[in-house]
Amino acid sequence: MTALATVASDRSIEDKILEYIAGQLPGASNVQLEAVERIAVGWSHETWLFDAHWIQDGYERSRGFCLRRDPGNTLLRHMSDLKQQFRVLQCLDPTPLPTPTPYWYEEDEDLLGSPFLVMEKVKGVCPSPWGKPGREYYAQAFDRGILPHSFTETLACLHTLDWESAGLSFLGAPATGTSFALTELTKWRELIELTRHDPEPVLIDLIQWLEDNAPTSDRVVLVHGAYRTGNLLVQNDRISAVLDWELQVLGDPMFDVAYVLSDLTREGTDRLSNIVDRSAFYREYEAATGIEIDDRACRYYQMLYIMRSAAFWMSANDLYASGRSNDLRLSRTAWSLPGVLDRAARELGY
Amino acid sequence: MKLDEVIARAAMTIRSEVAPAVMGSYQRTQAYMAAVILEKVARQLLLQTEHQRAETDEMAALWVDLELLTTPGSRLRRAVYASRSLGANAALSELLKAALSSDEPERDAVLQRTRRMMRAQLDRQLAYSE
Repeated sequence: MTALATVASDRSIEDKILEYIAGQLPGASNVQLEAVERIAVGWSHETWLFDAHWIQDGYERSRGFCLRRDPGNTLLRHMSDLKQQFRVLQCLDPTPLPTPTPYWYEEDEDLLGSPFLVMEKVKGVCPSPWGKPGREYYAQAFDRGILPHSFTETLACLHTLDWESAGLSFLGAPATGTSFALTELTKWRELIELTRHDPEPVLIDLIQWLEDNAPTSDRVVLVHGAYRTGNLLVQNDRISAVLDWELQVLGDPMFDVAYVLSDLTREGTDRLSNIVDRSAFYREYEAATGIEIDDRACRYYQMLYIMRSAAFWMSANDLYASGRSNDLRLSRTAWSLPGVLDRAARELGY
Repeated sequence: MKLDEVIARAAMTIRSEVAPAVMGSYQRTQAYMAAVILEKVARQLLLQTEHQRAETDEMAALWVDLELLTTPGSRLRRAVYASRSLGANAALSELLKAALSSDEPERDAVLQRTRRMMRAQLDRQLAYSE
């Protein structure tokens, strides 16, 4: 089946979602969906938001849902399967970390054409940090003073979470030493190798540097892998949910810290992730976790993120160019690649 | 009107006329993305001839310099000869790999000169991609 043929009309999907949700609500009648919207967030799966209304025991009831569907052709498809996301969310649900409650996971392709999960639509907003409205939102939230603390507190909560008790050992803890860094390096190099992109000499240089400079790490925490504004839902100036559980691993907490410190996660401001003052982040994170921020390791992981970005863009563009996806956001990434290669070259001294 | 100008105009129309009228968040984002892509393509087309000429001249200068920097019979000299028939990026990749794995005395000089060319290539890409 071609990529074009897999794109069913939104109306058809809406009807199928309604049929599925109605089947999941025993004793419910007159089930209706409202505010159904496919949103342009995330790269790996289609995301649909909607509110369900129904009658049960004579009372009107309603609940917001978020459905993520695997169209089988998107970025990181082979690295991020919905079944694992669902399992991670199940493990995190009883913990203090704010995450959406997972409801159902379905592998049966007869239902919506491909596997999907349904989870809670958590209240809150998720402004994109890459646009002017989002930047203004975070600037105003910074001035109010609550969200910066919540941002750091939530990361500290993630990194102090007892992942073994939560049942997350299935993610696979790395051996101590350079194992975590080199495993991540291998993961992203393999993604690059899967693309049909022409060789990029700057990337070859960067990968050699990463192989030669891998930091050691003896501490293992649950790492989100993309902890930044834009992947966090905000309600009343507090993080109401950590989203995008696609890249999580067990490993070095500095991997997340480096992402927060990176200028890849902010635009037009010195504030980390557009929301938190650098010195306050260091102070509050170290106080809340007891983990000292290792600047050398963070520098290494920032270089790794540059490589990861390059891998993302090359993979994304390959998906569009090969006709496996029709999402124009993927095509646009062809022009994002020189920007990350420029960062790498500057870091490497040219 | 030149091709790059036609594409730039089309991008402007999509950005100002089409995208704002598109219903649905996902679809509207796609429309704006189409405008962004066409803008990038237009800029790339505008610079293409100038960039190709510069690349040809600078690669020619690179081969001359690398021949001077490497010793006859050395592994790096052989890598230089083997890379000459490749396209610019593939040639630079092969040169870089050879230099990074070399322990010959000219290694650092070859690396430095190759990276200078890589920087120039990158600057050209940035001229239309940013």
